[in-house]
Amino acid sequence: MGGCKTVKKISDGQPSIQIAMEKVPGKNNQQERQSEILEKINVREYDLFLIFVAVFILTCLYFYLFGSYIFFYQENQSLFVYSCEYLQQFAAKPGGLLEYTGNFLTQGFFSKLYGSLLLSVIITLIAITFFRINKKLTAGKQFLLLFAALASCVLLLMQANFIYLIHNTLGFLLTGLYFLFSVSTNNKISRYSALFFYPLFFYLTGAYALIYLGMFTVFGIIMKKVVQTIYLLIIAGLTILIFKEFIFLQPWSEIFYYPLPSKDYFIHPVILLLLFLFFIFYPALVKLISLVRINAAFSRNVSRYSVLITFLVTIFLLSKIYNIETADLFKLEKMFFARDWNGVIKQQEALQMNNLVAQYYYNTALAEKNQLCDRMFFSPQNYGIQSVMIPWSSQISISRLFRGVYFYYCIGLINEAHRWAFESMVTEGYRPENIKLLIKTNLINGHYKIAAKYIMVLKRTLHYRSLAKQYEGMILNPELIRSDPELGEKIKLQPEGDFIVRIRNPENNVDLLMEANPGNKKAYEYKMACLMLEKNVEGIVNEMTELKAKGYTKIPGHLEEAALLYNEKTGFLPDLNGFKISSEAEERFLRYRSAGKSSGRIQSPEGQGINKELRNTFWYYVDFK
Amino acid sequence: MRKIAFPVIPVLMLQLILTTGCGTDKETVINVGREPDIYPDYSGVTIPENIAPLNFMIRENGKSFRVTASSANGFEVSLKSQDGIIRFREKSWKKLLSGNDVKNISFDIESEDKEGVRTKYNPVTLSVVNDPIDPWLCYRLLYPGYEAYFQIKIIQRSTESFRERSVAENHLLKTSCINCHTFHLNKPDKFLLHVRGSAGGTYFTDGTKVVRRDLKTPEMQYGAVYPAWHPNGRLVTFSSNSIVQSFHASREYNIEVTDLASSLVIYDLEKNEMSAVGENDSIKYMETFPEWSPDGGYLYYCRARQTGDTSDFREIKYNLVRKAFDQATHIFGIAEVVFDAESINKSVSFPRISPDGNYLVFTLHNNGNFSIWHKEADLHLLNISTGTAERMSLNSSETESYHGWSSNGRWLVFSSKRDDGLTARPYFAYFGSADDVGKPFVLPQKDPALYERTVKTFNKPEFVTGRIRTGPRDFERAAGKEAEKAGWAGAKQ
Repeated sequence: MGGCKTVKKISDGQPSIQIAMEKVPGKNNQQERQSEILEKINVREYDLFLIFVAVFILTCLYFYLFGSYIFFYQENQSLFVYSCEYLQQFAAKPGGLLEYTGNFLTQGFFSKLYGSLLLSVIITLIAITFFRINKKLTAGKQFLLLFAALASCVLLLMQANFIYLIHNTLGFLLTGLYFLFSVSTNNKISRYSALFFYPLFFYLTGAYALIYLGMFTVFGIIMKKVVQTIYLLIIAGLTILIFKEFIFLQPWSEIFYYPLPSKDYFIHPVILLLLFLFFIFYPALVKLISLVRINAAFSRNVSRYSVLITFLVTIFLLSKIYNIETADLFKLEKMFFARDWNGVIKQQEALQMNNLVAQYYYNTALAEKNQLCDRMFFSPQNYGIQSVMIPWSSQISISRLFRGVYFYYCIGLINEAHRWAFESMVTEGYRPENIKLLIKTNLINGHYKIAAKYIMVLKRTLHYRSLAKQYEGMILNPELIRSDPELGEKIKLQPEGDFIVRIRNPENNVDLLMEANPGNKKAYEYKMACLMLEKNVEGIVNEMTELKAKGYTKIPGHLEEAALLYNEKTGFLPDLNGFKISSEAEERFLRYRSAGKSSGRIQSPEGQGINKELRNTFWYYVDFK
Repeated sequence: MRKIAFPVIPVLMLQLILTTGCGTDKETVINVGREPDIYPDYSGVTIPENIAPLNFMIRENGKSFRVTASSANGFEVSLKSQDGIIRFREKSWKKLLSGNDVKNISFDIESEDKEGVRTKYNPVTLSVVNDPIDPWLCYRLLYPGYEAYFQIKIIQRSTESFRERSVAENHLLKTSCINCHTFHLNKPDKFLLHVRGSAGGTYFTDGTKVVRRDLKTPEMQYGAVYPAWHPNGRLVTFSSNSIVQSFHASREYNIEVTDLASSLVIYDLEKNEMSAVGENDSIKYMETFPEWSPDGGYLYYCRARQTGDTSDFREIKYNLVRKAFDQATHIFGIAEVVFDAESINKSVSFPRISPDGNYLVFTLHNNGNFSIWHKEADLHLLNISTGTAERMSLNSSETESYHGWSSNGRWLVFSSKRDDGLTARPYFAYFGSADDVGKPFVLPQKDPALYERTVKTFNKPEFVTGRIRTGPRDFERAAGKEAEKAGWAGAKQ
């Protein structure tokens, strides 16, 4: 019996494959072989589908459950503004639109679900793209699945770094797609159109076009497409020259590097180099691996296991990249930015982080609640006065220093807070925190026209426009500023007289502020905090005469502790201006001393015999820190 | 029923016709008897006939606006706007101003609300003078203040249109600070600017050529800072300053920039040599802001007593002094006080002399020399021959600071913070004579809302008589070459 012989071309990645073969007598071996192929192909497509799903799920789960802190961090690194001027600054340079796109996508990162799904889609697209590239590069199919997973896993690992931005991954995706476009067609015109559009590609992706150039050069050498490669190199050279000399005002360093990931923030910049080399030599890697011949019987298993190993290694490396302390720190920062002082205090007291930034945020939160002198030793204080204020340095990037602004804002030195926020805006661009501070400091200072400029910026964002409208209402009715709990308080804290701010020794500003505004209770709290951190017991008790004048109704806990220490050392209590040390404090001091003695380790650096309640004291800090 | 309905219907129809036919709402015009609130404020200003269109915004309530601009030459242009932004086409604007008999132009402005009620305002009148303004303006565009050197550009902008392009951009110069662009006699092809940082040096242009020089010799304690070209174009005087910047805590102030020490040096462009402007006085002074008289016979500058380590910056008072200069021998005379600001507890900065040599405009403020951060800083006009000075009418309650003369001496450009108290904008004022100073107006922008949006400041505006041919790439190339080191020729007198 014969039948129609219909053969449809096996299409890559297509689920349906139809091969109906004639039943020709004596051709059973061929039929069996073809059935095997059919089965293998279907299975391989199934495997492929699984790989893509696995990549998607792995990415999604990691970022949703563990790595979501990167969304908060990155959302706060830029402010996407819906304005022509904002677009223009990116359109004016090659690669700018790529960063612009990344910023556009990042604005949704206040939702970790959105962020996880977005990254999952992009990483999966990477997998699909590089799988298709592999199909073009090699006839051997054993390791197609491996390479589908490899490129995406590499970029997943990079993306897990909070300093690695989404536009970087988009850049590699676009590079892959353009490379795929270059190698996908056998038609001469289509092949050369990839060269023709290279200048446009360079404009859109910037230095990623050089990664593509590297990839294609390697491909051209391997596949002996010398002429095409030479043409591409010439076009690339001319493009760079024309862009540099006639069209764009960019220094060479930006032409050759922007918008690749910034080297400055990577502890090991060699990782970036390896990343670039991986993609540039990707065609060679694929070709090399495809030379490895594996018995067909084992091929599928080798393929599957290699992918499995890749995933396991990726999961292992993700677990190494994930840093719980970093995650906790960003969680703390998120609460801090939201001015959730109770949340900050609660978390730090629970986690007891030794990180300087965590301690700084904790102290600032306490200061905002006028509780520095009551609670600061409920958390570790490992850095002296640097954990309450950060000195300015022109040599250090503002991005590392920026947190220092909150001390000045808290204490009422609004001019200086404005300066820090302004410098951040100038060097780092618009960011939610710097713009908010610029608005608030100008509202507090009565510079409504200036505040209006920044409000206009904020109004043109997706996530912050309602906040902008709130501030706008304050300009129309300045009484709302004075009655606002936050802004109104800061107005009252400001210095009534002028002085020159000490930027290199910020602790000196506290005394100057106390002199310029004697009613500034926060300045007093900071003064006492600095004295406590310096273990200057005598200094503390000298200042305690001011307690009543500052509006205290009782002695803050740690100051009581200082007074008792002073009493122990000198034999008499300092002048407390009518206040009395509480009996509870006295009793606690006795217990502290007793605990230290009975443990026999009063001089022990850790004071292990002292329980948590007694460690949360100035005494413990003086003795053991 | 028919008999009753019959007369009712015509009555109703008549009523309908009468009410719709009257249309009293659409005809209602309210004359408010005042000028409209427009931004920028162009009411009563004096403008040159070659100025770019004065686009503006109408800050009144209304659903739509209509502006009729008319001039004495009979030309009229009408514009409508839904959002209150009025933009003139350049061609129409030129026609409005053309003709020697144009003495003024007026804007008749009307608004209409959603009920169709029209509001008519008194016309806004502008005076037009035949004295042209220099066709280009050069200024530094940057964020106002503090320390970061990002996004600094030297811009040249046409005053006759909205064309503008960069002359230098600091991100092509390793993000160094660029400052002190100073032109020889307002000429576009001969100017200098400083770059501070790793691409540091003083860059001199000559046509399209840019040369980078290092003017700080080992004999000089500090670098060359504020420049002034001698009219001969071969000599440039600089102040050499040690400058510190401080930040105020009080909301009333912002930044204080103070000299710890300064002196004058003179640079010979042809010989590439520096020399000191000698001072024989037994009292030690800080000398800064040199300015040459148009005939090159006098060097004017600001001078204050040298401060000590513990001096209060509020006590630093600069006087305006001058020294005669012998152009043949390059020898200076004795310093003489031209304006004693110290005696009135004030301080002088930025002396600038008119091209005819008759007048000198300076900035007067409470103390120090960096007046751009002093709210009380105002421009004063000194009659050089009589020695009398008076506060100019063009001042506002905010900072008026850096200023310059047009090449024909008929226009002043100056930095004013009158808009918002923080960012300086370039304002032009007509100088007919000491008694005839026009109301100033701001450099017009294609988008009149630009000044409301931008937080950048327009710094050190300078008139230029033509288009500057050097561009950012020229400076970048020059920065890539080694700076030519200047020699030291000793002290002059």
